[in-house]
Amino acid sequence: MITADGLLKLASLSKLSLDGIDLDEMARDIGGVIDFANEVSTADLTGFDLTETDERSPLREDIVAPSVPVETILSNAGEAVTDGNGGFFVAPVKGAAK
Amino acid sequence: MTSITRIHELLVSKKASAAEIAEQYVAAAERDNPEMKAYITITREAALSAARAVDEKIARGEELSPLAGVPFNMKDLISTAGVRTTCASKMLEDYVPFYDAAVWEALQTQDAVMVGKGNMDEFAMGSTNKTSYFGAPLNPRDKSRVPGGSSGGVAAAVAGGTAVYGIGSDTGGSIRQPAAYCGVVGLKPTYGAVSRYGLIAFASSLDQIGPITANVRDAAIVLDAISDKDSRDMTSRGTAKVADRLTGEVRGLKIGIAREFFENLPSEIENSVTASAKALENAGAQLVDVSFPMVRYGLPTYYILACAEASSNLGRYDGLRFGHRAEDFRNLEDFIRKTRSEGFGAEVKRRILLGTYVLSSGYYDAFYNKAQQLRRAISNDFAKLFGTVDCLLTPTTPSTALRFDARLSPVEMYMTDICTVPINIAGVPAISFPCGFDGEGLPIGAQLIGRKFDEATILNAALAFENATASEFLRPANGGVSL
Repeated sequence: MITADGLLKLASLSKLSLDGIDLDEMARDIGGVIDFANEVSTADLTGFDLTETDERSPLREDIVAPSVPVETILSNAGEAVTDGNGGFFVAPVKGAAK
Repeated sequence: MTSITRIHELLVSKKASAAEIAEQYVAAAERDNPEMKAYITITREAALSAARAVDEKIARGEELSPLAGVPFNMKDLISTAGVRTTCASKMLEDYVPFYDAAVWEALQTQDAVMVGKGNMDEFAMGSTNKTSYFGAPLNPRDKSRVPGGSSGGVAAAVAGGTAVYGIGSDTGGSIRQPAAYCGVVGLKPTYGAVSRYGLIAFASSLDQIGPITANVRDAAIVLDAISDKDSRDMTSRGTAKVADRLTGEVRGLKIGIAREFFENLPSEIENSVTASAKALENAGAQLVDVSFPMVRYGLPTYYILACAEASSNLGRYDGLRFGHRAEDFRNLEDFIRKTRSEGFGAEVKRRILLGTYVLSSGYYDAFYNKAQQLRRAISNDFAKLFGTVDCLLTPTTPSTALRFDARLSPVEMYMTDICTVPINIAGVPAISFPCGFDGEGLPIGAQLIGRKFDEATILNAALAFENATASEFLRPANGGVSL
């Protein structure tokens, strides 16, 4: 069972804020799924060959291709700067003028 | 519901123009969408422009591809350059891709006409479509019911007659389950049959793109159009073309019936799927009782793997390069946390948290590693079964379409995928086709599962069922276009 404190630690690792969420209810929900997922611990895999496979991921040729223009890459950014030499994403700064 | 072949006949015989057909479908989508919500974005001008180009080809006497001028709905997680692609999330509400997904490229070379982008569960995480940021689409068979998910808007558009076919994606049943709930055909091709280049990822080792159609032959036509090897998706190999090889002949075909898939089913579903097995037996197939005990581990294995991959794939949404941005924050760390918390809905957050849990130190071996081992064990079981039978027949879902007001816990909701997730885990192909109706007139789906890259066998068997039952389960819903 996961606790509300455990949930907050998970949220921190996940870069999520759980402000305004009923932590006990969410802990119950997630705890229920974890208990359900724990069913995998009962699986007896004796006798299964878990490593053999005839599948291979085909690799493509390593071909040099033109890059997507920087302006295009930046087109969906919330804030970006472009100039003659390229451009960059702008990380927001608290209180900075846009 | 109008079929792809019917539209093709109308165009070739010049009984209707592509522009007239497109106008009818776009107008129907615009009329129905405020209530039905099958679409997130309707692309009127692009659809009519594509249709006019088809008419010009006809005027020049050029040969038409099977999908030329046929209106369709594309799930809104497939990238379309210049047309917003939202994943039904606030996070990507205004995101406009600058490139086309491989499937959209392929469909454009066939002169396909996209009516718009289909509604879905947020980031394809859900089985009801209730997690869409844009509101849940309704099931055209019964508006008090969900259309299923996550490709619910796509299935609802096909069943509701605002698209002739649709392109969905299936990570754990997201094509087949809504197809079953809406009474249409849904095909999840083999993992690797269709390029995922441009598909916004949920769980990359499970995601696959496939068609939702009015009948089995249409599914084969669309599969032929979108299946190809693509160097931009290293898992893609394409699959053999199938539409011209469909005969509906199943004499000598060995169909496995795995009793584990039939446990705890409502009698109406069990009876309908059993009757469809009998229909195939009467058509000449041989039914073989088989056992698949690893099925019980399918669902927990799936949710461990899918959530783990989702927590990693969705790590890219930080508000810096694209997507929603928080306005009020203390520092960069706080900005990212608030951006993600505002941008993602409750189910997406739940799955990210679960994925982080199963990947975290102390739980990785017990959950993620064990699930990876089980994935191999389940795949081995499928391979062993396909040494004795040619395909398996199961129900698609353990229930018909749920009511919107049904209150289920997350685990109870996940259980609706119990028959579909083992297929994604093993990477094999499966098709859902309508095989009956329950006492309230809601469609019931049966599922045929095949060997890897052998879509032809399951399509052929599903076609045999359609022929044997004179397509009596392919009933149109109210509304939409019928030509």
